[in-house]
Amino acid sequence: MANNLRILLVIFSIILMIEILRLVSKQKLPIKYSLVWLGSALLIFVVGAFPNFIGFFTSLVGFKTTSNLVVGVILSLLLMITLILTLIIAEQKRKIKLIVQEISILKKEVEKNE
Amino acid sequence: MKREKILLIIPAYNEEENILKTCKQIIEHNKKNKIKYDYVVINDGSKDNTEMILKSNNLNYISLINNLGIGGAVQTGYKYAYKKDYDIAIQFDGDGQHDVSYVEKLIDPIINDKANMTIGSRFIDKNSSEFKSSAMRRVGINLISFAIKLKTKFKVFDTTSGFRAVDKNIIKLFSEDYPTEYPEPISTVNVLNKNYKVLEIPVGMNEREGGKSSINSWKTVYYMINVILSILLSKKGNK
Repeated sequence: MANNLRILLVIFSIILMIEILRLVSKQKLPIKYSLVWLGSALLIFVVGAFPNFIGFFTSLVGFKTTSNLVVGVILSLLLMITLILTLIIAEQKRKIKLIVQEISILKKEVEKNE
Repeated sequence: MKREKILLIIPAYNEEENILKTCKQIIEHNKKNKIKYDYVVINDGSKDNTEMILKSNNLNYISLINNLGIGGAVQTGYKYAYKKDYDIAIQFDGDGQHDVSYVEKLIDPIINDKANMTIGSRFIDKNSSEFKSSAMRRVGINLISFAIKLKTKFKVFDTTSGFRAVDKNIIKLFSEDYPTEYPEPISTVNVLNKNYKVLEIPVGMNEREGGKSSINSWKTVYYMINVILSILLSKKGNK
């Protein structure tokens, strides 16, 4: 893997980690959701910092170059994160539906008693 | 014989043209036959004058504070029925498609413990209904019917009929769990999966008297994939 790409990955992952930690400390991002992002950033860091370690996996999985493996891994991570986000959205949709229904029924009862 | 408490659930989205007529039809029917069908209109966040009409005519209604779609609206009706301890709940369209004089036929098997749920069907007896439907729609309905048969071994002819009556057990089931999108076929399968008894009753239906069908041709493919997958992946369970 080319050295500039390595440097880029390391810098990018460090910026990502700092930004996530900053968001958590400002209480904009709950710890629960920050873990998957921190894990991703750490993985990118390892790939950039220790390419030999990754090189072993490249041939093991069957990628031709390490950079392809990096792209592949990041893509899989994004898919996973998107799936988790979809699950969270579905859960929230269910809760919002319940709230709308209960409030609407309650509102009817309250207005009737006025 | 004890007198059952009966509720008609009328979901309405932008039904300013029909909703008053639908409610008046029920009130007239009650007077004429000396019976008491309660009704509740679920106004699903209509953008037209539906709410104003409901309010000014002193009709019984719940106005959802946000649009939920047909599934969420109908489920609100079942929740209301459950809270108010109704014995039988009937889904009844607000667009003038359904005829209140068939309600008696629909609830009869439930009162006599012959079924937990009845579906008012346009197809089961061709003589009793002049309902016309497009070839495309029929193919879709038959496909869904086949999927239901595959999953539950039970043949439902009019899978998308929104004219249905359910007993107390199903009121509770639906108030806890009701599909959001395209709820009719999927909720029927949920009932069959729990080994409740479903009967299809031939009824006549009117052509829509205004407003638009909630199923349009652009969404048909998505609809079919969604419904058939939901049916095949639905979970069997006990009562």
